[in-house]
Amino acid sequence: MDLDAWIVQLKRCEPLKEAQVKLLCERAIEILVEEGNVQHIEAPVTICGDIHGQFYDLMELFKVGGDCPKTNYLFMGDFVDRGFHSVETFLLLLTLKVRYPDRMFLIRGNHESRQITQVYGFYDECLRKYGSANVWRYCTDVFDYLSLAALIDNSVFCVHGGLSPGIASLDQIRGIDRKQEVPHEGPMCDLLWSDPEEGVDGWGLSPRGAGFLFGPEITTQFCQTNNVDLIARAHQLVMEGYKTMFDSKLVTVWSAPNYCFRCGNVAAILSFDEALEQEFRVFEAAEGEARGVPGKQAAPDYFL
Amino acid sequence: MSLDLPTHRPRPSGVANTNDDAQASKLYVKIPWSIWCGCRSCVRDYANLPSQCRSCVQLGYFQDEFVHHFVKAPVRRAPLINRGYYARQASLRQLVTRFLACLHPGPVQVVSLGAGFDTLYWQLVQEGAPISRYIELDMPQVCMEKAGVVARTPALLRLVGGSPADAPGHDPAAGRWLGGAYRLAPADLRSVGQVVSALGLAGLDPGAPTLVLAECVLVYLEREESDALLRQLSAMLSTAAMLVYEQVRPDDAFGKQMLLNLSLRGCPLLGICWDVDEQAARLRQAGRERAEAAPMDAMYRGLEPRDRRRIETLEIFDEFEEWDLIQAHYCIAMGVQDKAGRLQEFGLPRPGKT
Repeated sequence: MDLDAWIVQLKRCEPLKEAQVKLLCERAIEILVEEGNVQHIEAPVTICGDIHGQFYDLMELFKVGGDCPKTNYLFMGDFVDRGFHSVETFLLLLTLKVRYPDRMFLIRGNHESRQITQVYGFYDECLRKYGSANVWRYCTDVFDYLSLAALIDNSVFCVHGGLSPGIASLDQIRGIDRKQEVPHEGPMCDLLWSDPEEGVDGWGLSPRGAGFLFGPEITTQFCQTNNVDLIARAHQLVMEGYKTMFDSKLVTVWSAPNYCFRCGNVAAILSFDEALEQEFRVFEAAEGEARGVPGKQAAPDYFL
Repeated sequence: MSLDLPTHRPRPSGVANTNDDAQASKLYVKIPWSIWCGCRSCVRDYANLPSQCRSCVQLGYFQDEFVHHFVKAPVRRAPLINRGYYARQASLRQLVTRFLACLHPGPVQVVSLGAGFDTLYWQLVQEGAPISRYIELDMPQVCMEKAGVVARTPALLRLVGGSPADAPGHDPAAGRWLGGAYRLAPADLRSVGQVVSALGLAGLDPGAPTLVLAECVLVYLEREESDALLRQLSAMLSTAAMLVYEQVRPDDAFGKQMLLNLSLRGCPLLGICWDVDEQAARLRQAGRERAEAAPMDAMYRGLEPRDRRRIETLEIFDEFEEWDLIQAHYCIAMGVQDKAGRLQEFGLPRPGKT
C-alpha cells in the first residue's frame, strides 16, 4: 500500500483500482474501529461541512485551508452523493485518514448510508466507474465505522446534523452501537439528520422525515449539561458558507460551493487555533476548466 | 414526403443545442422552444426524447395515460425535479379546473402557446371537459412531429373530434391539424403576425371564453416580443384567463447561476421578469383587467394537503434548501380579461400559512 503515491494519484482525480480500494477500506476500518463515537480532537484543527463529491472544490478547500498534514482537518460528513466525483473525493479523504490518522478526522453524515447513496448518486457512480457495486460495498462498510461526533478540546461539539431528544449527555452518544447502517429513527439517526431552527420551542418535527428540529433552549441546555461552548454542524446549505445561530452557540459550516452547479452559493471552513480562536474562511467554486465542465448528462436540471 | 429541413443553426443568443437540452424535457415533453432551430437533427432528437413526465408518471407523482405515446423511455431524475414537476402540474391543473368551474357548463376554448408534446387536451377530453376548441401553437418542426404522432396513434386520434381529413388546410406533414376540437398550427411566437395567422387558420373564436396557457414559453422571448404577444392576445379575446408558469428573480446568487446554466445549455432566459410583481404588472400592462402572481413555494403550500403528503412519501427527499431556492425562482402568473364578469371567481388559490 503506497499511500503517498495513491494520494498523488487521487489528487489528480484518478480513482484507485478496485483491489486497492479493498485494501484501503480494510485498513481504514482497523483505524476507525479504535475511534470513539465521540472522537476527541485537539486544536488546532480546521472543520469542514458537506463536500458531496465536488472534488475540484475540495481541492480549492485545501488551497484555502492548507494541505493535510500541515493542517489538521475534521470533515463533518456528506463526502459523497450529488456531485460527479464522490468516488475520488471519498477515497482521497480516506487515504489521507489512513496515512495521517491523527491529523485527518472524518465523522459520518446522513449520506454515508447505503440507502441514501442508492438514491443520490454514489452507488450509480461506483457502478459506472468500476462496472460493479464492489467499491460501493467496501466504502459503505467503512461508513459503518465512522465516528458519530467529535469533541475539540472538550469544548466544541461537532456533529453532522444536530441534537436528539434521546441524548442529553455525551456519554449517551458514547453508549450507542454505531457499527450499523444509519437507522430510520432514534439517537444515531437524529445526530445525522436534525436541524437547528430559530423560533422552535423545544423540539419540532423535521420536514426531512428523519431527525428533529431543535431550538435555542435545547441548544443552551445541551451546552450547559456537557460543558461545551459551541455546537458545530453541517448538513444545511447556507448561501454565505456559514451561519451562526442561537447567540453564537451553534454554527453551520457548508463546504460545497455552487452546490450541484446550481445554487450559486459560496462555501466556508472554520479554523480553530490552539486557543480555539475561530476564523472562517470563505471560498468559491473551482473554475469551470479546473473541475472539468460537466458533461451533457450532468448539466443541472431545471423545469423547462 | 421528405421534409426539406435546414442544417442545424442555433439562435445567435444560444450557445449549443444538444441532445441533453432536449432531454431537459418539459413536463409534457415540451422543448424550450428557443433552442429549436428546426434542423433534421433536432427533429430526430425530439422524436427520441426521454421524458421527465414519464418519470413522474412512472413513480406515481401524477397520472398521464397519454404521454407514453409521445415518449418511449422515462429518464430517472432527482427527487427535487420530480417534486417540482408535480408542483407545477398539480398547480396548473387546479387552476384549469377552477376555470372550467367558473364557466360551467361551458363550452370553453384553450390556446396553448409553445405546447410541445403536452397531453392536456387528451386528458381534459377524456375527463369530459367541455372543450369546444383546443389550439396549440409551436415551432413548425414540433408541430410536424406531434401531428405525425397523433395521426398514427389510435388512442389519440379517437379523441381529436370531428373529421379533420376534410378540413381545408389540414396537413399533418406540414404540422397543421385542423377541423376537429383539437387543432395544431405552426407559428414562431416571436412574430405576432405569425401568431395571428396561425390562430386564424386554427379557427380561434374571439368570443368564446378562453384559457391561454404559457408554460416556460414567454421567458425565452425578448421582453418586447412577449409584451407584443400578450397585447395581441388581449386585443383578440374578450373573456379570457392567461396562465404563465416560468422563472423569475434573475438577480440573486441562485438566479444568476440559473441564467448562466440555461444560457450554456442553449436556452437563455431572454425575457425573465424580475419578480412575481413584475409578472403581474406586465400582464396588466398588456391589457388584462386583473392579474396576480405567486412563487411556486407558495403555490405548493396551497395544494391539497393529502395529495401533497402522498407524493412526499414517494421518494427519499434530502434537498430541502435547494427545493426552497428553486421553487422561489419559479412562479405562476394569472391575468384575466372579463368584460362580461364571468370569471369573477377565478384567481390563484390563497396559500396556507405553512
